[in-house]
Amino acid sequence: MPASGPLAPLLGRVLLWLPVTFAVWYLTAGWHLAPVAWAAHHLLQFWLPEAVADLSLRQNELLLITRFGEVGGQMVANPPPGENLGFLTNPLSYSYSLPLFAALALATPLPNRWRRLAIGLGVLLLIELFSMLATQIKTLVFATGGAFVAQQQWGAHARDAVALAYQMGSLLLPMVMPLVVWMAGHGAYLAQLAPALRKAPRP
Amino acid sequence: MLRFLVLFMAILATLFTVEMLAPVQQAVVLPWTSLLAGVSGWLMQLFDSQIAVAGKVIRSTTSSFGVSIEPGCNGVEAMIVLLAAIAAFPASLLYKLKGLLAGFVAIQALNLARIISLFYLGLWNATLFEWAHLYIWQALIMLDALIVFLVWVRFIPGGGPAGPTPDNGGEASVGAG
Repeated sequence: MPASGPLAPLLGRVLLWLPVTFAVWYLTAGWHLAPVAWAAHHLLQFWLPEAVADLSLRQNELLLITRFGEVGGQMVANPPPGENLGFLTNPLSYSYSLPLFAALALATPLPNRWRRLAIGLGVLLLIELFSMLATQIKTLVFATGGAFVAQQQWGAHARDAVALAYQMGSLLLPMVMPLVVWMAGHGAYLAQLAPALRKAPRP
Repeated sequence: MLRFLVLFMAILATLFTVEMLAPVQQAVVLPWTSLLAGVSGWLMQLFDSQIAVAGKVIRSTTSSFGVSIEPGCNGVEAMIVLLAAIAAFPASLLYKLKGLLAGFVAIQALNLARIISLFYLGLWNATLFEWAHLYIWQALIMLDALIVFLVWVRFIPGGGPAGPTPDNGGEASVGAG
């Protein structure tokens, strides 16, 4: 066996699965984004009803309709009908963790592969919900000309927390969570790949 | 495994928060990003004379197209992920440093390939550029970090064949799926 052991075959299988999982992910985007967008819509309406009028999917994009609008050069809350500010964002930019995890899970030769895949995707959809919420709240905080911050009376710490949550949700979590979920769900295989992972870590 | 993952996530969250701080961005991340743009531009100028670099922006001198290297594209986040994983796993300091050095080379080499390929892809087709930029390369860079970590763990000194041994007494298998 080469020095890389079973790592090279694993990598090969992952690279073969990636085009397939990315294609399926993109073609079914309306389906897997829908429950996350639905949950985000209801959470935002519950939490910030005076700021969020609607959140819905437009094909593969997410449209946030706020309760703010520009009237006479001023950003105001509850503008006249039809004057509400809307923002389009791309939820796929933090959803690519799904095809990455799917490729890893399908490339891993363990029993109950599809069950592990389904559980992992479920966890990642919850992470995606966090990313979606963080992205929408960041939009409200930083793109409504201060109207949202004034309405909610959020201070500098709250704004910093939103900025950090946005960076986490849009940048870090989509990158790292597929690997974490894969490692958590495929420990038995990881122990074969790297025996040190099977031993109890002691500092 | 659970202990490792919890420690890994804690270190990761801490390092990522530190990376976001303005002084760290000014003193480390932005200079690094500009250096990366400079190296990418220099490599591209070896075979393409129509490249110009200014700060973190690489642009074509014959068209209006250019790319700006932003957070998420500079390999820093992938390095933080690898650093957190290596720091969370028990090994000697020297072995950890070796892993980080190897990981740095592997991640940044692939990141240079990402930047250069994205530049030419962007010159050719905007849709493919968006796809590769937002989705494909992100996944490949993280896959790179994962493989480096698994290779590193595989060759940890004393991390031989798994199973109950006099050293660990088989007391705590953490490999359960």
